[in-house]
Amino acid sequence: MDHKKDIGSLFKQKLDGAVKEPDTALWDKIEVSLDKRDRKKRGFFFFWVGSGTAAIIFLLLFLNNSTTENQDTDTVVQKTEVATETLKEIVANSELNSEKNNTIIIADSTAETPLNQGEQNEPNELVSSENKSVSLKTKTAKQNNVVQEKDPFKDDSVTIKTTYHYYNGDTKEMLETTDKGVIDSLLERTKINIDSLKVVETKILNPYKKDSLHNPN
Amino acid sequence: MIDWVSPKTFKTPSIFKHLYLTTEELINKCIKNDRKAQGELFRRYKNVLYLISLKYCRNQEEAEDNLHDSFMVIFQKIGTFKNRGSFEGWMKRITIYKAIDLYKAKKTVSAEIKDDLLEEVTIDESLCDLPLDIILELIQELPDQYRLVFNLYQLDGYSHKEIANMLEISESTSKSNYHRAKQLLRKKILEKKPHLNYKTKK
Repeated sequence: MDHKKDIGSLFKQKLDGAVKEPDTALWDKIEVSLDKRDRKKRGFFFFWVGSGTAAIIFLLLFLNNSTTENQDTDTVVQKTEVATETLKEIVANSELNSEKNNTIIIADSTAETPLNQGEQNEPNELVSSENKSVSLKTKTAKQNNVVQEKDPFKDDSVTIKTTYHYYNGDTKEMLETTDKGVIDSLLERTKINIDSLKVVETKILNPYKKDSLHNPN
Repeated sequence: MIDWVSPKTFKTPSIFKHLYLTTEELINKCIKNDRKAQGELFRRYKNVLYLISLKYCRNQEEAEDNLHDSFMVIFQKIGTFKNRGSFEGWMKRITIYKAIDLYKAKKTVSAEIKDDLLEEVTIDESLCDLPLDIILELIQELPDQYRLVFNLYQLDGYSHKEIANMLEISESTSKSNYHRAKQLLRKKILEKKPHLNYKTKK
């Protein structure tokens, strides 16, 4: 007759000295998994190092930019303020000028020769036109004194003296006069010369055009 | 002219040097992620841990997967082993816990059987004289929680209190699960008796 024993103890007895060997390919699988994990670790390391340095560089650049931008904007604001102030001055000056008919002409061209009218040539026209712009530009600077003199809030007892400047480019002489008529007469002379020059111009230019039309070669 | 190599200059080839390392040296090399040392560690402990996996898992495939995962954890956590206990015991615990993690959530049996707890589950010794594979197969066929409790209590010496903590069940559930597992094992052996008898005789 068989001897009866606890089934649990019998199982333990059988399994205690047992040996089972896993598939030989299992180590290869583990090795692949380990390699994969190492790569991931390295990847994470480089990712964090890379992203960290990128963040630091970005922050540094951002901080630098923000400080320089602030400086730039400050200067820009200052510049614009100055510009608006000058614009206001110019507008105020021009208004006052138009009211009081004060004109100051400064000619700095080398070609303009009001005394040698016969020798006027093409550049003079350009110079005379430039003179106008120059005179407009310089007007503000020169007229500042006038504006101050013409200030309505000032005492009426102060006498206003307007001086007119005419610069001859050829002789490099500055004509300064209080009589406006002298300057006007000079300007009229130049105007005549400019018109005559225009006529000459067309005369010279037209033959070329005709030739080019008739003889395309 | 042949230049003889003197015996003093002969060194062990590098591919074999891991074979002669002590467990401590092997552990230190594994901490440094030395692949050859890791291979040697696997070679030394694979059979012991594989048997544990076979006992705790449902089949051979799952046991191999569990062994793979256990070794991955061992190599990852080897730096935390502080030579306080047995290194083999530490690795066994990792393997067991890995299997518990695999099946703990899949609770299939939660009914408590208190009436027949005192009943002894015995069987003829001759009937239990079975090949190892059949013994393992019988264990693997048990429901997950029965299998875990039977292994932990009967084969690996954990107390019902410890098992209750590990599996997050009550102590009485652990006791009843253990008893029920033994009943099921006996039932299966008796059902397969003719076939098993034939195999054992052979």
